[in-house]
Amino acid sequence: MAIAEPTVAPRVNLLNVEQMAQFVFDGFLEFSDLVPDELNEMVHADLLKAVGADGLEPAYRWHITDNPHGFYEESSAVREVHALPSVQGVLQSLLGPGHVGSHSAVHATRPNQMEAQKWHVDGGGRRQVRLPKVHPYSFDILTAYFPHDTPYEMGPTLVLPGSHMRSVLGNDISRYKNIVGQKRLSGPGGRIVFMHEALWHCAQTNETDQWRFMFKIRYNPRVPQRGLFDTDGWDNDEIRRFFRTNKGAHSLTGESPAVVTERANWWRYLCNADELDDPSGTGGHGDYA
Amino acid sequence: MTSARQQVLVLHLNSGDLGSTTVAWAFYDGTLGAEDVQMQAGSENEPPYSSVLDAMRDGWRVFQASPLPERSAAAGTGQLTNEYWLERIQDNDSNEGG
Repeated sequence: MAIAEPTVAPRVNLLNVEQMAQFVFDGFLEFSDLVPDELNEMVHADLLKAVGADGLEPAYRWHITDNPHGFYEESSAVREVHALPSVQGVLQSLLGPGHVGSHSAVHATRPNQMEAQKWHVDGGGRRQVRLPKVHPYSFDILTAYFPHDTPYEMGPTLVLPGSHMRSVLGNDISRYKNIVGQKRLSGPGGRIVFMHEALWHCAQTNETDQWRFMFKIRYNPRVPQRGLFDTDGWDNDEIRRFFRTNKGAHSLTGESPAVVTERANWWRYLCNADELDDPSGTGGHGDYA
Repeated sequence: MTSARQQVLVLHLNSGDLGSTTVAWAFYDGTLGAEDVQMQAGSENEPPYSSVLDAMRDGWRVFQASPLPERSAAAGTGQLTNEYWLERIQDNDSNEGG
């Protein structure tokens, strides 16, 4: 079974151009106001029932069962969270109609677990290392839902903003340990983070005496990801200024010039516009750089 | 058997100059036992040294440097570049308990 979107997918609660531009730069968007508190509490209660002395119950370990949606099927509350119009609006904006949740997983970190997960990218890698028939601008979305408060010391997921623009294979990056700009997704309960599939991430140590939970779904698009959000103002002065003033964002080792062009072309693709015109062949980027 | 143990520090810099700023770091400690916890991802937010030169001044020896990356628009970006491996040899007898 796969998680399909509701039969009627309203085009409401769509992302605006400022939000989508932030996604293009950072590789993720975080929302703290999409889910009512009572639903968060219900999901948290269901998650506490899913762990025992040996950790996550086997029925919910998707990689050792033949069911990639054990907890999703078990918890009506978590299904309700992901069907909320507010959540579907973001998914519609990023993935379009017909998106499918290919698998989901409970991420549970034990109390006082002092070993972190290693840096990795889910599903192997991106773009140049993917099959040639995969469109270079297509991407899956990983939702990371934190139903309860996850302060820094509880070890919420660590991400490297901007790393989605790098082509790497999944576990090669486990050599790295600490990187300037890394960010723990700490904060209050009820947050959902929508991550580009290529974003570098890993779970963190849990220095508290409480279980730390995160529920993930990987969603696949079924349409070209163009013009799916509220593109009003996509090329206005503010957006162009945003791209110009942040052109060096997340540049660690001198890759900024290469990323500027790729980012601008991806942006134009997302906005259903032609890629940058460069009749001179000199690599000019116009106002985006 | 010798009690000498290798410690390895991996530094990534923001340019090819060994005095440029550290942007990523990892530490693998051969004096620790199999049950001990090595440096973990996300465990630190400040680099131990501001540059490779800074580490060298503290006694670290560079034993490998990454080749300069081939840059092209087609290749895009990938792994962190400007990678330097440094080592320090420790007498493990003086480091019992890690």
